[in-house]
Amino acid sequence: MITLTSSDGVQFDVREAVAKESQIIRDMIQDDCVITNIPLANVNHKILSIVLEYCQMHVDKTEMEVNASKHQTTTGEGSSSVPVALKVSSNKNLNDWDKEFINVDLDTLYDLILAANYLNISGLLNLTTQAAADIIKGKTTEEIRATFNIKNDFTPEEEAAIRKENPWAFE
Amino acid sequence: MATSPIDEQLSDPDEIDRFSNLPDTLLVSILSLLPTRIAARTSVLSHRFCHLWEASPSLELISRDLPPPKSHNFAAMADRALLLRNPSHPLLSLRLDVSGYVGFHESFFSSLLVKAASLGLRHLAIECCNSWDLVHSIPTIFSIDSLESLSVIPTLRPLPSPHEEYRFPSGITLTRLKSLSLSLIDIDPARLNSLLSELCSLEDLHLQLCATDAISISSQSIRKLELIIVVGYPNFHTVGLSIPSLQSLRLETHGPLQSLPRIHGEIPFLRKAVINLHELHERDVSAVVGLLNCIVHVEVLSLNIKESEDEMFPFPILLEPGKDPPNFSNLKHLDVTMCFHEHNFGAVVTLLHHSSALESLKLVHEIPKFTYRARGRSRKDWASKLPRGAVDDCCYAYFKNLHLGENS
Repeated sequence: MITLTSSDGVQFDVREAVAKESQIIRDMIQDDCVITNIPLANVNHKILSIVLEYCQMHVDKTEMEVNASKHQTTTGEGSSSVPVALKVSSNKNLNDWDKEFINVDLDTLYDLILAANYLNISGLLNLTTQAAADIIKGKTTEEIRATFNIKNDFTPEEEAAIRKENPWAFE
Repeated sequence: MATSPIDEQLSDPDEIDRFSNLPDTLLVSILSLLPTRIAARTSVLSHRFCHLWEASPSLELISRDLPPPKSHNFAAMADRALLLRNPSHPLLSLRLDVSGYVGFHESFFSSLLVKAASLGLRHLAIECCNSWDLVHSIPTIFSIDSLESLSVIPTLRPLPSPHEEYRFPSGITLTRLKSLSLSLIDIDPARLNSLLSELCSLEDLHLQLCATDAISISSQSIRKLELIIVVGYPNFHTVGLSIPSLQSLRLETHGPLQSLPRIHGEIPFLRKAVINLHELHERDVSAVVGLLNCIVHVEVLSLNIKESEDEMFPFPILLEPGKDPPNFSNLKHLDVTMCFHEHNFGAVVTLLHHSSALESLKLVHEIPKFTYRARGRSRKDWASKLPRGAVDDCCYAYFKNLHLGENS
């Protein structure tokens, strides 16, 4: 077990495998194998609990697959392949789970992007940045500004000049 | 699709813009997930975003979505995003979709590739209309030594062209290339194999092939092969596979072939095979049996077989009557979709008797569109005749999608 302490002092006891979903924690454990308590200065308890929910789910799914293949090697003759159907269905479930998981408000999304980046959890970083990109897709400039509260600090002339420079981007 | 709460949020002018406050690297990774045209639009959001998109390590230049005149706009986009790119921004991934490009200029196209090569490109995907659009760019493409993956796939099915052929340059040094997708027309097997012999890291090969009478594929490194055989004249007669490390094979035929090519080869480490054969005739049975003998070591096998509208229907297609069936001694998971008429049902039962390690089985009965009456057997008939599992005499067979009606 590893204890992770959030920036606001809340402690989370998690299995080492779950904590190791984070590359920086993996590196810390590798460098110092007796480490049991890791303070995380940039992640508050609310976000850390969401991040750990993600890590827990992904570790559980991976372990399920490994167990399934182990089961096979003991029953079969020296094989380690997971039944294709099982692999596909668990991937599909995990994708559905991810989709549901990332259905959060913008503030939480920013926090998750920052936390995934800080803790270096590549799966979570891909998932969160893709969610942000999906919000931009299919929106007009005005809609993007409104969604993200981006203040337009161009003069109308400046904006027109940029649009004129790249007409292929603006129809 | 359900609307996410993000979309429903109303903006509040007093709220701070946390999006713009994200560090550059994170904003650039978000923009890199967008097609270049959409990413470039963010340049007018605010000064913060004005030049961020230019640093994206991934460019997706897609001609189809551009406003007319498409060719002009594609050239302007490629020029701005790629040719004028700051050399200090490395480019990892480039997707060029020129399928909507009218008046294709190969010299311009080559200049894009040369620039991308100078930026250390690792992943290149090209979509075009016809294979022969790119015939002259092939030497340039195959000289981008930094590539790890390459895909050149036309949107139209390849058709044999009497004049053009991909000529791969000699002395290729794409030693990092792991994944290759190609659609080939009239390929000379010697050329293909000399190409494969130079791609020493290649693990994953996807080939769409069209016509010539014999083809052979040999490689020491390939682990995964997808082979799509497309209708063409004349058809293949033989396909030889000499790929000792192959673990996964997908073989598909598209369109009516004159006859199924004979597939032979030694692939002892094959674990998984997906075979989709369409429009088979009675005369193809020996080629099918040859193929099954070739993949006899698999652990996971998926067969999808469709017979052609033939006056001989129903005819044996999986096994040759009177000959020894292949022995699938490692087979654990079998999935068969075909019309289970008398011959095919008998053949599958015989295969099951020669598959001693089988753990799971899925049979899907599909009535061909051209038959006007059901030629399958009822589920009860099947269940009683299927061999039983070794453990506790339990029946491991189950059926799904069993249609028994007037028509499919």
